Amino acid sequence: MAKKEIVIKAKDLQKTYRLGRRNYVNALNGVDFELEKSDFVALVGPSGSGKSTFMHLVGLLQAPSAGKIWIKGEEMTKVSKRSYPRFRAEHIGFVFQGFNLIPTLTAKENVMLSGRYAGMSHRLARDHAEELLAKFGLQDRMNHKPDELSGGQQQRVAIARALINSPAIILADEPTGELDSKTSREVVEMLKELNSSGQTILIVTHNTEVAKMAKKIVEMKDGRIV
Amino acid sequence: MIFIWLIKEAFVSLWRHKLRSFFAVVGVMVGIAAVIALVSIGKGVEKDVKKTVEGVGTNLIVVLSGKIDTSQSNFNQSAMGNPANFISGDILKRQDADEIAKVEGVKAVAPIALASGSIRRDGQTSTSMIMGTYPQIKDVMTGFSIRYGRFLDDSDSNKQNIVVGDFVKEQLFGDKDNIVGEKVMVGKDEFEIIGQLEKPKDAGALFSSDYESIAIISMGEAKRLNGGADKILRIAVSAKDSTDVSATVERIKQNMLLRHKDDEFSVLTQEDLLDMISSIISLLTTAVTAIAAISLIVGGIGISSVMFMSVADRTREIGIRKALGATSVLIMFQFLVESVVLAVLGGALGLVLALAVNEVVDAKTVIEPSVTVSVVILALAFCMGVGVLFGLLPAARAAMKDPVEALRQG
Ligand SMILES: Nc1ncnc2c1ncn2[C@@H]1O[C@H](COP(=O)(O)OP(=O)(O)OP(=O)(O)O)[C@@H](O)[C@H]1O
Ligand SMILES: [Mg+2]
Repeated sequence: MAKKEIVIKAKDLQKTYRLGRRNYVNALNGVDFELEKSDFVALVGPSGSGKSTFMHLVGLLQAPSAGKIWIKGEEMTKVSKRSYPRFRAEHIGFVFQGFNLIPTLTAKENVMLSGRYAGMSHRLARDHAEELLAKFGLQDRMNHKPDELSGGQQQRVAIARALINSPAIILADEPTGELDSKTSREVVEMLKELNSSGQTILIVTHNTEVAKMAKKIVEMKDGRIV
Repeated sequence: MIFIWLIKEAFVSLWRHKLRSFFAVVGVMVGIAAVIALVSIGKGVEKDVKKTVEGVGTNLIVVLSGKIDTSQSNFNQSAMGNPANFISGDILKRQDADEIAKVEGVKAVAPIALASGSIRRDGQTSTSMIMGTYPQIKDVMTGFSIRYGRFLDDSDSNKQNIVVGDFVKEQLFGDKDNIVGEKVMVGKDEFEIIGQLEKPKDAGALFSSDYESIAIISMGEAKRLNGGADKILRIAVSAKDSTDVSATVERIKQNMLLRHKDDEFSVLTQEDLLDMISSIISLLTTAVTAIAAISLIVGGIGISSVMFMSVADRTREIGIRKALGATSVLIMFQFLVESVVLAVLGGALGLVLALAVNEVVDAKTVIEPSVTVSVVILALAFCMGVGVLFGLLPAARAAMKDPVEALRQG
């Protein structure tokens, strides 16, 4: 059996927010975590349990107070933070809850943006964006602005944008948070399909129905994985 | 490439908030419009003066009462010396004119006196000034030409004969074209119009009106009207050789010093006059520029505050961009490009406004404002500077936003 490839690994991850001189919140209290390639994990847990904080840390948007993070085998907590933006652009695809898209840009331009940040040429980004949007059934919506799209369509554009650089992982923080149950199911179906063709996905959700569609469910409570 | 992309994005986001963007640029727009309009009007005046001086002839030397120091490069208040001397009309005498006529290198001399009284006819009064001079004035200043009748000659020295410009005709005779032989009143005396002046073609528009608004009588008649006083404003002299003007000026000065104190008079060439006018205009231009600079600063503050607003509005957008991999430098650049585009757009609108103002000035006055490419380029470059300077702080604020904080908002 081939050695399994670990995309994300976290060891004893801690995050403390200082609120005052003596007052602080331990958002994460030593999280150990591993995510294999082609996995589809749903992170669940009560509000305030630290799910978003965890996503932000492994997404290199924020530095941990303690602990280590590896992405594709590289220890990111050792690497210069100046390389983080480019690393994010190339290897991590984000999807957030609602209002994901830049309102002044069209669907296509939103998708292209990620490509451009990763250093893609205008032409290549455009071709890729058109291809992805067509694949997601948005070929007639490419030149529409976000406010001309439905919530489900907006999330599909956001997923296309997350995919343009063929990232090692997609981090989705409550991507269905603002969608009705039917549209939610459609969006998760889409993620599932991407996963079946090998895309590694980590999704945060409150919705048990959504969580059940993932391959694995991981639960957090009070800043720990339980 | 990335630059074009950023500029395009800047336009899109500015267009989304059209009204706000417009208010942001009003200050810069007005500032730039003021500078370009005033500078081009100044240039127009300068051109006009040059044209006049060239029309009058470079051989012309003028002796004035009062001290004007042209050795100083900047014409200013202190260079004018004693203002009392400058205004007083009783320093220059006919004798001065007659003595200067004998100076080596001098071709012709004509004193110019202001005669008191105004020209009337049938209860109407003309605004024309009455000047007393020698017939030689025609040889000294090349601008005079006669449309009808004849100019003064030596036979007119004690006769009530007058040569008039167009104002007299328009104000006292209405539509009548040729008024030679008509009679007008000056004081208690009746004068006969013996000639009509023609507006010179080669003089600048500003000064050609001089030729329209004057009437000329003999020096003797002027003295009589002035109750025996000469009241000579200036003495016009023409040099024989245009290459020898400065030496002639020097000899005239020496001659004048025989009868006057050094600070009582000035001898100026056309070039001196031109320099003086140029320096007055450049002084005005400097003042205008200072005012404009202030209004540009105010405009810049307008841009700055709108950019701060925009950064606050787009916090979530900044968070998303950073999550997608935009570096802080790129975010900074993006907002900087936006404020520069805003400022340059304001400048361009200001330019259009200035051109409109110039158009009006051109149509309603004799001045022909002239816009030079260098002024336009300088103004737009200035706008870019304003955009960068006043965009720096808001752009830095955008760049420093923490992506997680930004994403938690909105
Ligand atoms: N910037 C901050 N300053 C102080 N405390 C913070 C900050 N960000 C998060 N926290 C705290 O950290 C804890 C974890 O927050 P986090 O957003 O990770 O929870 P979550 O599991 O994503 O909750 P939800 O399901 O509501 O999104 C919470 O107690 C929260 O109040
Ligand atoms: Mg959360």
